[in-house]
Amino acid sequence: MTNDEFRMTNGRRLLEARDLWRSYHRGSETIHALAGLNLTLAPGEIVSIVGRSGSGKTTLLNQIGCLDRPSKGSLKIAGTEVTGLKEQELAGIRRDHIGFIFQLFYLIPTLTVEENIRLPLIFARKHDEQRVSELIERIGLSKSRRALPKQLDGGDMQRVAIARALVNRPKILLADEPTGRLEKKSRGAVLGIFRELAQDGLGVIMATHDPELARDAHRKLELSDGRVVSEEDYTQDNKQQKEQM
Amino acid sequence: MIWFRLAFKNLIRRKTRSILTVLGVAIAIAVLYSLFQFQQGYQSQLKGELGALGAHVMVVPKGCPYEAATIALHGGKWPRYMDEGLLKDVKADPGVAEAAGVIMDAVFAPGNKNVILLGIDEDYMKLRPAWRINGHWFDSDSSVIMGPTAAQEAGVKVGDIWNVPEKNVRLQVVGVLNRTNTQDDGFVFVPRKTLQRMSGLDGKLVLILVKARHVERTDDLVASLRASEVDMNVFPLSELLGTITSLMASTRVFVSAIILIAVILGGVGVLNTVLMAVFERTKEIGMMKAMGGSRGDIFKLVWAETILTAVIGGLTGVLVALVSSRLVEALIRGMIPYAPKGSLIGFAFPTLAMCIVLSLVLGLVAGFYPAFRAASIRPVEAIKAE
Repeated sequence: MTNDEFRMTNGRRLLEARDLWRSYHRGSETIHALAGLNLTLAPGEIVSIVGRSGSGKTTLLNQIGCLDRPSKGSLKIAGTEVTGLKEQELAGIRRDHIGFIFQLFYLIPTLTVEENIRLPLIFARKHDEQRVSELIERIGLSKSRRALPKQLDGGDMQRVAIARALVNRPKILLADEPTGRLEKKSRGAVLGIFRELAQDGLGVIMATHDPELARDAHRKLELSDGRVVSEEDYTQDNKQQKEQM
Repeated sequence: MIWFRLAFKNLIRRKTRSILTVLGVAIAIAVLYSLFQFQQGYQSQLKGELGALGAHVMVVPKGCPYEAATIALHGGKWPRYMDEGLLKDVKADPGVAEAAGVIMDAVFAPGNKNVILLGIDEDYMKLRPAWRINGHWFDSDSSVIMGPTAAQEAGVKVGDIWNVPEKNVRLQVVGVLNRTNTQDDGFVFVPRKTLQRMSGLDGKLVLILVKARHVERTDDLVASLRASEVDMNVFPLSELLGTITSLMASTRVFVSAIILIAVILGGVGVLNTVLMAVFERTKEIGMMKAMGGSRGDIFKLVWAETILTAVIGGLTGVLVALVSSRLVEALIRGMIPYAPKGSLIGFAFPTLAMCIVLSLVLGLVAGFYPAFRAASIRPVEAIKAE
């Protein structure tokens, strides 16, 4: 899939942020965590967001993930303008369209691998054991389905977190430092999973400090002071690299 | 159910804290169950004991009626006597169907066991139509009939000779009562004249039990007996039941206040524990919201935790109350002037149901605020932690 193919019509965009602002007040000072940011995401696209701490990466993910509301601007998720939605409606958008992965995994320690993965289905009032089993198999943890998180290593925990994020068949996967706590071997595995998912049409946005991971995306955006200061397109590079391999 | 399963798993994450909180509720509910059941048991046992007397009116010497009632129900030595001649006057009242004069004494058997002796005659039998004697009625002045427990404790059977402790008197056991499950089981029955002689109380009575000819006119009978004599206390057993019961009821306010405080403290314990858990799990709750958990889902999850804690505490409390019932009973008995014999704190489904419902209400009330706090957590907190 080429970059041009990614940026198809509005109708096929998973995400479209236009002139997005998020401002905070600290005393008399106004801080703009996001300052008129624009971003689109197409099905099957992996976008990495880089930038130093405080550049606005996490704030951007919060906005896209409907965890926080922008101060100004437009944000469309799967064609729905979400900026004016009520909290309950935002919960529905998160449940139906978005999957989250965190650096610290946030698996529930008393739930087994399969129970952790099943949790979002409970929130969605769905019963889909086939999906749970399919994901467990996909992340290669069939033998550990009844294991507790403490019995897993960091890489396996992140796989479980990925499966949990995918169980409700989201359209967008948001990952905040997904490999921050992982060893090199596990980092590669996580990226491999992201690529597979992207081939199935999932859009992935990951905020990362890891330059290698950032380069493995289709596009890399660099943020500074809440704005995109540079954008690199690796679609052709990656394609050529794969062809050479 | 799924919320309760998740809630249970959350509770076992903090075992020590959860156990302590459950114990807090359990103690409150155990106190509630014990005291409530004690009051219920007290009333029903007292009613049973009074019913077992087979009489409607009790005539006793002047003095404290409660002391007299205790003696009448449990037997013992009471240094107040009436003249036996009064029995004739009582019997002469047209409202009286049957009247039995009783003299009582108490002696200590080896092993410091208190043996209650009742001096009775055929009139007493008329008040005890349910008695079945293994053996026969008194056939001489030196015969004795024993309650089954008394016979067992004295180690005698029909036909044996029984040496009356402290009295240097030998009596022949002519009968042993079949078990009546009343206070009679523990008494030793001796011909009245024999006991009067043995105790140096010739011509004296401790008690006259009166059966009314017309139960509905008991009040008239009491009035008539009260008018005829001044040296005796006449009171209907229904009045005695009412008086003792109302005496117990007057303590209910105090007891209820203690229970209320214990339950509130238990509730505050639950609230505190769950609220702490909510604060500790802010990120996790935020993560659940990020995964699509609604405010209602989070509210239900946390509420389920408090309800579970309170209900488990309630069930444990009832269990603790049942296991420790003998000890609690002994403690309460030591604090009140009169208590019927027999088990007072037993299993009662209505009391159990009341305790469980109260625990549930406690969980619902105590859990509301933590659940509300948890539901109000902004999901952005989860990612902020990153």
